[in-house]
Amino acid sequence: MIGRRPYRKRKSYTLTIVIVLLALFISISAVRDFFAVRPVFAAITYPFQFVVVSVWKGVTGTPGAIMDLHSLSRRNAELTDEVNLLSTKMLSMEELIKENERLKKSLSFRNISQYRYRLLPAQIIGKSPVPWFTILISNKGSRAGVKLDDAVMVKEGLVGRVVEVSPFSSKIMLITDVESSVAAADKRSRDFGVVVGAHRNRLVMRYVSAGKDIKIGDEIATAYISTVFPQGIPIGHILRASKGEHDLFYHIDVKPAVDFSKLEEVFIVL
Amino acid sequence: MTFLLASIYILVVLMFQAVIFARLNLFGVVPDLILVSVIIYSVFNSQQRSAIFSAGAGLLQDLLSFGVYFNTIVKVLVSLVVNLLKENFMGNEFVFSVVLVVVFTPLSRLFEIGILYFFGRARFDCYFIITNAILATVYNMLFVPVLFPIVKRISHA
Repeated sequence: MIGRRPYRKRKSYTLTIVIVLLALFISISAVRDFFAVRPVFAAITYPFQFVVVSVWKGVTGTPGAIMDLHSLSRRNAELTDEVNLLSTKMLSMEELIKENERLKKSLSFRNISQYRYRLLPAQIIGKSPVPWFTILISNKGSRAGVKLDDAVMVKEGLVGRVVEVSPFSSKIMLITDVESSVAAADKRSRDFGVVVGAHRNRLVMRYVSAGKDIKIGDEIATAYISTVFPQGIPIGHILRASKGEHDLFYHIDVKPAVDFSKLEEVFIVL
Repeated sequence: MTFLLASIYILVVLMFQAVIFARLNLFGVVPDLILVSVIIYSVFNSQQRSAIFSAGAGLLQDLLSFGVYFNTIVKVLVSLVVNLLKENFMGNEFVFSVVLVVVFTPLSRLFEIGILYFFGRARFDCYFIITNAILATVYNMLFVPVLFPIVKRISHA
């Protein structure tokens, strides 16, 4: 008598293998940018992000706003005085800018319009959901005039640059990101280098020749040689600078001028 | 229906991760709610269903990211291994999920670091890797009790 093996449904791994191969393909292949899907997805998710961030800010901001209510009138008066003072100063500044431009023109300077940029206020509505890259999502996109590689700053200094634009939002790569590099200069000695991102909100300045004049505490700002960032935006100050006997370059640690953990509003340089 | 619920769930979790937990970070470390969800979903569902769920969730996470896109492959591999492990498991599913999160959070972080290192995209010091892995594990573990009943309900819908 021939023994019959009991029927057992065999597990199919075909779909799983296909999914694994597709995932692998997506991760390592040239379709990294997912054709044009990324901006579309960013546009779809924007309303959700906006609603969530608005609710979150409303919930977390209300108790503080109520507690600060009594100091608001005093603060309002102080700010009004400050605005009046700054408006007056601005008038004289405008005159100085015009005079500066006129004089530069007469000296045949070619970079007259270097400081003429428009600042677009933007709100931070999210952060990239990946731990290794420091990418912020702002609520201003191509419809507001934001373009790829636009610089982003706050009043304390440089924040980063725009790396992806969708109609209603854009992604900003912080200067502390490991992928970021900024042409920079020491404001005192005018020595050039490249500021690159490191982890835990650190910056490192590279390619400053060992023979240059570098001091701890020196301010570092964007250099005129940069093709992305306008000149003179503060980046940070030198925290540590060291070099070995046979080193060609300094090893410089830079403390960022901006506290990136508390960014809520930024300015995009148009 | 399950597909729709799962899609909405992934989108909501992603939004929470990108908007709220980006602000509520633990010494700069944010939880990976998608990883926790993938693990719990894989505990309750077949290999094929969890592979589709993890691929979709990872892909959406990659779409929101910028840089190296390895969330899809990491999540799919995690769901595969969870499905292999659960065949030999008998016991409480909640405890199993917690154990899996404790095991897979540092492993997935190390895997990602390995990929970044391999592609020459980033160098990390040991202190950063260890603290990041520990904090991420603790943070992810805290979310298992929150996400477990939701994912269970979606799985049984």
